[in-house]
Amino acid sequence: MKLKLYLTISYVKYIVLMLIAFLLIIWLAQIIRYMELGQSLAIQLSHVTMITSYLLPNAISTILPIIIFIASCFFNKHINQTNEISIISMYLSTKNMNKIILLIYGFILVIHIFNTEVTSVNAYNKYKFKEIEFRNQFKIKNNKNEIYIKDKINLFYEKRNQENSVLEKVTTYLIEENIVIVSEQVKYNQSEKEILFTFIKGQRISSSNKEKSFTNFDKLEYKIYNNSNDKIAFDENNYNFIQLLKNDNQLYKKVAHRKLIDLLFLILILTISRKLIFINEKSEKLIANYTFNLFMILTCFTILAFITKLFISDVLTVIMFYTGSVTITFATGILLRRRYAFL
Amino acid sequence: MLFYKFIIIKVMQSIVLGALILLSVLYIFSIIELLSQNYELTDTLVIGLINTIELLMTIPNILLLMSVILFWNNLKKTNELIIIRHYLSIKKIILIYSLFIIIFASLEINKNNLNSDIKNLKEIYLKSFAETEINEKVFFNFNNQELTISKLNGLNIKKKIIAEISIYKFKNDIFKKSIYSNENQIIENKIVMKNPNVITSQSIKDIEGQYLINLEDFGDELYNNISKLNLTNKKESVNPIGLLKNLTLIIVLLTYISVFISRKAIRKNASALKYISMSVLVFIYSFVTSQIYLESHHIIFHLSVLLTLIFYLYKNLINE
Repeated sequence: MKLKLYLTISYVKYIVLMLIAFLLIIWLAQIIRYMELGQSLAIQLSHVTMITSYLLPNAISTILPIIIFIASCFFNKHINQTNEISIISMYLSTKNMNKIILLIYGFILVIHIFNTEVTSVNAYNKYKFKEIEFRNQFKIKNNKNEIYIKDKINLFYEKRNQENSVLEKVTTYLIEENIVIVSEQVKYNQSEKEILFTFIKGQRISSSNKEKSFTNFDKLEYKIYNNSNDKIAFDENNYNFIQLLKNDNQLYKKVAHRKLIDLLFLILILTISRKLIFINEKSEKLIANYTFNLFMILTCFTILAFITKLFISDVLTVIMFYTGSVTITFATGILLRRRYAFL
Repeated sequence: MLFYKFIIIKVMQSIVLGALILLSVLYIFSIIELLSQNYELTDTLVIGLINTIELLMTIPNILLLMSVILFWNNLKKTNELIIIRHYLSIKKIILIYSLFIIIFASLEINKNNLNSDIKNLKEIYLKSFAETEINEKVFFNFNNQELTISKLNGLNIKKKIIAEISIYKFKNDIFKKSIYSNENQIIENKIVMKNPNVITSQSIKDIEGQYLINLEDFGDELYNNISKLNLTNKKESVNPIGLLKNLTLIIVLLTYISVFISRKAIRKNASALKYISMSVLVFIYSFVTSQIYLESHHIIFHLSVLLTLIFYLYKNLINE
């Protein structure tokens, strides 16, 4: 019993660790991508971290198959290096080992289906609302003595008065109007819908086709309105399998079919991993085995993606899509199974 | 010598393995993201591959961290790490690793340029860049006490034309002159502005003749898709924050190695969870602090971050 528990915990530990590590990487990459949208960095990090966290359940569904495969390789390497595989095979029969693995995989499948159909759909719905809120905010980049609002204004200042936040010695470029304003001071008030800039003592220069002028002023006001008014547009990730099938949109129906093939792909990976974790071989051969398996899995995934693409663009019918996908998945499974037939 | 060769080979194997694993996961992630978009079959594959590299280049440091973990995990279990540490001190191992640290640090420092190149590559592949007109590009060129703002409208690199150019020049925050023309051409490595209008604080007048701008003033930035660019004369400007951040980056990379090659970590029964968590904490700490900008005491903040990491690295080294 203890050995069974040890085996289960060790294997699940590898899967969970791998999953967390790769989720962290994907999460960080998403955060950095979002931050490139350019907003005040002080507000951004916590806000963006929260928004992108809603995408994580979706990312779990996407990367789970490959993570299980990689975790299985590492687990197999570990039990080979520590000779645990010989001990396990001495005390546990093949039937017992298969029972444990099937139990783990059954649990993974249930979690995967629950995550895909419930957690990730709910999280994605929340993400959509938060993302639109974020998009419709004023994107003000305010750092290193520079204030920038995309396509609207770029302002460089020498220093900021800490008491009243007035900017001093300021050169402002109004991007849309192609106008430069050089001023001694600038005050600005920001609300949800607009920002009012008040320029004190300076010059306004316009050098464009529309206007060529040079004006001295004592006070000049300039308003920027927040025109972002994006509306929520739902996509296929906002619906679960049943909702996608019942939807009138043909594309959504196709995505529902794709979800079934994704599940089949996960089952293929589980089948390959089941064989892989109990391979007892020398180190060099192991690496070659893992690489071959990885190559085959990626090839199978790419072909499945191509078939899905053809199905989405109406080149393939539903029956052809299922026939093609199931054939490729089974062919990969059989090919990799034959390789380990001697074991 | 064989010993050093063995370590270098093992490190390189870990890097290749780490890259292979990361690329596989990110490849699947990128392709799934692209499936519902209207690209051709081959385009999906090529863009998927470019997106994979782009994702990896967003945080290249993670590859080094992953390779260190793989190197540690592989050699620890066979006791090879204990043998290595018996003959080589942690400082010597760090020295061997320094070559890889330099490579990854330079990747991290130049990641914005590399990512911009990758994005351009994607656009060139989709043929949406070279054949279409870039609507607008604004350059803010800083050179000592001088600032030049240039706005280019209707830029078409392929046809070598720019519909409109406006240039504003300042020295010590004082407006000097502005030049505008709607008759422009790119000839060899120069932009020729014909019959420009010149505005100074005293006059506004049209000038018969031409005004020349060197294309080199804009560098490679002219050809990318970024609409607003700040250019600085790199030879004359030294950015202390940039230097601090680069130094912090190198210390962080050294810290990863010091965590995993320490005497406690090389033991066969050392907890993987403990040491991986420690390195992830260092990674998150350095990532979050590098993103923080303070209105005041910014340099002091980054200096304290650097000192914290140096202290941690020193603690790891001195315990040996």
